[in-house]
Amino acid sequence: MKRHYHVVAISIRIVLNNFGDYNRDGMMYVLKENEQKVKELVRKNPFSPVSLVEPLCIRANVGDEVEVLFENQIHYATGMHFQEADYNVLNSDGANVGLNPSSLAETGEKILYTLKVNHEGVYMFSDLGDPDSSDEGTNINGMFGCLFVEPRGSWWTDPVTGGPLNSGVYADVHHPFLPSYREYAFIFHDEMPTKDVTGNRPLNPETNQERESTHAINYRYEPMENRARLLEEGVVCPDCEGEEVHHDSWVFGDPATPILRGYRGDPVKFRLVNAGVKETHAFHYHVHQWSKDPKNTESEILDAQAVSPQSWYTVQPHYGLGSLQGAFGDAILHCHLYPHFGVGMWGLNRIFDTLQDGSQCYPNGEPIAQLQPLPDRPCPPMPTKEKPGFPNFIPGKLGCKAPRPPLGIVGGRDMTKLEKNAAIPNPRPGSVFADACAIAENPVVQEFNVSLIQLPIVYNRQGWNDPIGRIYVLDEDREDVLSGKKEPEPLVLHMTANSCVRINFTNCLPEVAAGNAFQLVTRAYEASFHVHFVKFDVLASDGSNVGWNYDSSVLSGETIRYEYFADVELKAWFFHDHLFPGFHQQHGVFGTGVVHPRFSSFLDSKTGEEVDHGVQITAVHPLIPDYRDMVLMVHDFALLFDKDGCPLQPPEFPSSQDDPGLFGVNYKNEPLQFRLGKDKDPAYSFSSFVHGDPITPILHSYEGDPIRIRLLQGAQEESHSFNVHGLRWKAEYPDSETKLRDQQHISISESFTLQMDVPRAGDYLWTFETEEDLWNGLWGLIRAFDEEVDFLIPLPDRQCPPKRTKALPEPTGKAPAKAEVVTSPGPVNAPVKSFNIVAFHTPIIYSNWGERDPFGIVFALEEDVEEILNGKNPEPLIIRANQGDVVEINLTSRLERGEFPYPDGIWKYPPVKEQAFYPPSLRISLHAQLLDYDVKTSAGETVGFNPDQTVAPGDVVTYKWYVDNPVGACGLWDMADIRNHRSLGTYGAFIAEPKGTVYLDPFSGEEVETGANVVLRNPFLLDTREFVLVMYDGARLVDRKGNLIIDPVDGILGGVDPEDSDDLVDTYDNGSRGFNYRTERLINRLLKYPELKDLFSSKVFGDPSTPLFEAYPGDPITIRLVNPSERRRSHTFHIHGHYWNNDDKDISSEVRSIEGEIVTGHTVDLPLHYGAGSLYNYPGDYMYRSGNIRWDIEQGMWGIIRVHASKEKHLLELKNNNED
Amino acid sequence: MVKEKKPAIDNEEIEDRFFRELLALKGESILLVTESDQLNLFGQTFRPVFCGEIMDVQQGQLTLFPVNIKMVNAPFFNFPTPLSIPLEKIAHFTPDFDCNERIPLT
Amino acid sequence: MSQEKANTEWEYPTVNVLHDQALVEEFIEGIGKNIFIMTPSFPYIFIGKLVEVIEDQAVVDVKVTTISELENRQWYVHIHQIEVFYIQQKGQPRIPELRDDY
Repeated sequence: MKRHYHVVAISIRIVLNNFGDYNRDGMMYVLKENEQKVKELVRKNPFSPVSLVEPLCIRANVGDEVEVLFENQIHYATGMHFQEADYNVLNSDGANVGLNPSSLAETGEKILYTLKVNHEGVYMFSDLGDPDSSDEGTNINGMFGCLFVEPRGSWWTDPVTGGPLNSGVYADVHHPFLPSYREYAFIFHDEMPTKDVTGNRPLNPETNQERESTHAINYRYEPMENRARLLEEGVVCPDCEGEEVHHDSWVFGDPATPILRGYRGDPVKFRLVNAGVKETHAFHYHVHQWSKDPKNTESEILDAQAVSPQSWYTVQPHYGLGSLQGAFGDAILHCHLYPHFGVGMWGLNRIFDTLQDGSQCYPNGEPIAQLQPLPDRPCPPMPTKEKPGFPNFIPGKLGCKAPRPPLGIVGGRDMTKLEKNAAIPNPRPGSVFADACAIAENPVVQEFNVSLIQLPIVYNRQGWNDPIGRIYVLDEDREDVLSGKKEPEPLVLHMTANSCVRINFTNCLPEVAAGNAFQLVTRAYEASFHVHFVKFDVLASDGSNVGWNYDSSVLSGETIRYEYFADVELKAWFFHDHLFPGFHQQHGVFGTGVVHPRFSSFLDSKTGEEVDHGVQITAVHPLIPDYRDMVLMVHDFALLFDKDGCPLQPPEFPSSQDDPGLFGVNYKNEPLQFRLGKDKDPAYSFSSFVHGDPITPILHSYEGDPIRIRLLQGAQEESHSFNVHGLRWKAEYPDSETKLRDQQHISISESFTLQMDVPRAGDYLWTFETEEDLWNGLWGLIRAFDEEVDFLIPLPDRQCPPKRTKALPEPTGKAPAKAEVVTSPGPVNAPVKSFNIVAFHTPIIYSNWGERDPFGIVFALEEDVEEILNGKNPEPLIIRANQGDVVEINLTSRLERGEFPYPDGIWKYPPVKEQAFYPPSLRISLHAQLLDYDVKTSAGETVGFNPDQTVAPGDVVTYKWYVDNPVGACGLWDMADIRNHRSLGTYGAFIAEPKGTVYLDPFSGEEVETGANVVLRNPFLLDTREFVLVMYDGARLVDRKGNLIIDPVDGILGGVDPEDSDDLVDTYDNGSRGFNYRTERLINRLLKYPELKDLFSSKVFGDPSTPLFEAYPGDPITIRLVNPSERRRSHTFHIHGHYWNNDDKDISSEVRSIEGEIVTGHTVDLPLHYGAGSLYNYPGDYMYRSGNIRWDIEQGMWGIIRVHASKEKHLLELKNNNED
Repeated sequence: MVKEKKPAIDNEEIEDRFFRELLALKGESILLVTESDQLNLFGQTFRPVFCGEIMDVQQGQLTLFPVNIKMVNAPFFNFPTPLSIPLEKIAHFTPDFDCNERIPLT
Repeated sequence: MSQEKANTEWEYPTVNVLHDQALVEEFIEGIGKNIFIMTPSFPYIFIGKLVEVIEDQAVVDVKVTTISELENRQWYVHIHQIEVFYIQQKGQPRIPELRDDY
């Protein structure tokens, strides 16, 4: 079917909330038919939000042809670039890339885009005519929208009227064969320049400083600070101050942010989109869970999802609205990064239990708009006087905080008559209006008595401490923890599936705390226990105070009872306080409950006694393999003081949300600055021989034990990148057809279960591996013993480990020796591929505009070194081997003293927090991801009590890796000095190819040893072009004149206001970036010809310095993408006009054109569907790039894949279209 | 091995106790799961878990109507037509099952 | 040769064979009617008219499947690969139309 839309881009005033916060220079896409209407409405309502002012959301069905006539009324050239769609890149790209004709529209002009939409999903569109990251850019001011592609045969209606719908963020979608569902667009965006209603930059009344950047959903946000003023002025209950109260509709009425309405049980699809320019946001939705990949029934279950700029996910809550237990009420959805949540990035999912025909009102008299029931579902009952339905049975008072739930609080109140009518047959504390535990007939019941206490926590041996640590403990452990007998650690509860869990929660916190460099004095007078994943009555047990719900928290000294049902093996559910999280979550207010398979029992790993809580336990089961269970909870914004009481990384002013503090994992850290030793050689920072074991968690097991790592983030605002060196797990752990990973991006509230076994004895490094995290101590060990130890029981279903014959290793203060024998785990007769690799200094020229690194350190094959030293501009080392090969690496270092940029041993740029003396190591090593090797000899690092695997100049170290699996892209990087080497280029890639593959140069046809651009030839497969992209950030470059380039500030197109420059950039935004030691910073182009619309054009500037990949239409292409680099800002990767399976080992996985949340250690293989030019094999230039407008694209993280229309002399054709 | 030649097969004489068992269940509500991992309805993937009243039984198939497909995101979705399930495709089923009962599906 | 054939073992049909055969019989009876088929194999759905049955293959004039490029042609569908189906009968619900022209 053909659909036609006429879309206009207009400038318009956007008012983001009822307090009048606005953006005068907003830009939006709108349907032509609504253009006059919306302009008129905005003219008439300059100070309040206008419902038509929303991101444009249009729809089509799979298989449709969609024509979009785009009319540009912005005062410079803009366009609509569509993700996911199939289109002719020469006329419908919505951009001006390479040698393509421009498909932008000049001011006042129109252009017709023709698209075919062939897979379901979110086809986000946005402008690429102005890639400028400043406040004057297009995307940042609202110029984005979505084309939602529904299953074939669908049609959609307006949820209020039931009538037809041409555009809109909410729709009811119907189908003759499928259940109808509510579709909600939930579009995050950030950094929109906003003023308050008086035309000034908004201030935070608490700190008197400027408010946090705007973080919004569908052009709306509801900042705490505005509502706080109403409290201050006494307009509403002045004694209601707090954080969570700002979500309370009893006090303030409903927010201006999205309220997504439905009836209990309605099937729903959230189209979660990040149209923002900078941050990776963490979507969390209370009460509900969904499959990570909606196309895969064996996908893992999530209830929080990180989404990076220009990425999208479809979230289909299991069991429909209200989940399995049939809950109803307000379920809040929000970005979980607390500063964003606080500034208003939240909305409500309002689940009604009674029919809304427009005749009802909310408690404050606001009419409840009509809501059509879905046509194939039973009609909800009409509200009656006895049963008025949510929220009208709740005994709240307007202008005052919501009441506490009935029955829950010890010594609290009973139900009112209306509450009794609305309640379940046997209401009890924690389950009043929905009965989660009744799902099973006779569930196991587990009760835990939990308190929230305050105590000082010491994080490391140097005495870094948090004087007001706040943690959850079991009541029975309270004395021991407070007295120091038990070390404080996050509370980890254990239970089996099919359990009814009861929590008796007591708030033992002192009301008032802080008043120091980090935080203003705060009165945190109530606290709760808010949970993820498990099933519960949202009204009684959410542990929150949102919308028209109750306030299900307690005051200091009180106890409240919650009840939840863990229906199936849910992995680890996060819990934390929801009332004052911005204040104290970073002090440790988080923990987790782990749901194990039914019939498991839990033992103390040391004594074998049965336990029900603990960070590391042994889980035993009659039918499935026993395993070790270990929890790692990372957090940032750790507000620590040193042993002398000086604050570490204090913010500019107390209670600032601008990245204060440091980091912890399970309330510990082991900073590398204190692990320098006598020789002052960073190469041994991880060695327990030299420095002893780290104080951070060491996870114990015996060789061969299955283990499960529960990875969570407790607080507060940032992304982290978890890596394990030497082990791998399945990306989708319930699924057999899935790829392997050894890295996971995580943001707050996400939970991952990593299942694997530990094949060989030794010490395995785990780390949150971005440079600043690792430097500040986020690493530890997994220790697998080969012989029995008296502090670890063997797993009952495995053979007992042999009795101990040698003593356990002890610290000696001296560096360990190299391993004597290096063997690979591969079979004895496996073919061996040897590489002699050298690490040496050489300048690297990063672009044709002169950016270079005079201090570059590269890895190269020995035979290639001379050529590079004689002037060949190096590329990162990219080597390959096939499944079944054993790879032997012989590595030497030619590093020399005096060749490093910072002779005083303090690496200044790009910066990290807590700079300290750490002089460069001359040793080098090479760590590989995802391959099979013995970590005692071949992990490429000197860790724990493993032998030395780094090498000094003049010596050689050998590693042996076995390619057991054609895992594809693997990152390679140095681990001898994570501070002084990485920014200079000490990384590369290894590709594990299928058995029998040879690698050819695409221009000569000759076999090659290295290179980013090869043709893969295999007797059973098609010739495939392989393009390897090594995405890097945090590079340290100088310009033509030798001046240091401070990116991103030096590369920002519009320049930076000196007033802003201090706050603009976090440590982890610093550094230059691009692909394969190349970058094409747009500032150079802009300075030459100042035309924004031409910045990507090769006709004006020539091709970019970044890799140019070439192909013929239809050529099979696989992209191998690795990020072995160092900064903590996660990136999105997008290719114009092409798409692939999310999981390259699962053909039924979702199809997308973006890969998000890319951070240190990320690897992905993208076999492009249908080859070069995608489904229709259109020739042209296809841009590959980051999705981050702040600041990646501008800073040079983009390039071109050129699909030639006709044969080029220099590029050989693939042998696939066989003319025999 | 030589066996006696038998006359043409007469279906009524061949004992198929399962078929008779199913006939006895006609009119009852059952929960039935078929063989494959997942099915795909215009992009909506789901595990093949069906619940419904046995409307018809033949020696090759049984037909459920009304029939509820237990999709994880819409567990009470009633399919617009009857669905016939070849007996050889049944993995397992349980009779006397109330289709309105809430069960976990993951 | 024929001697061998006459002495060929004749085995009591298993219940699986009976079910399989009866299924084929039903399809034979449904020739000329509209049919809805779900199979775990791509493209997962066939909707059309059952025109013939050849051994254990149902020949279907397919009007609708998941993607339009595979529609409006004849498909031979292995009956024993079909997971779930519906042969439209008089007096019973009709197979809904999938319209492309909203």
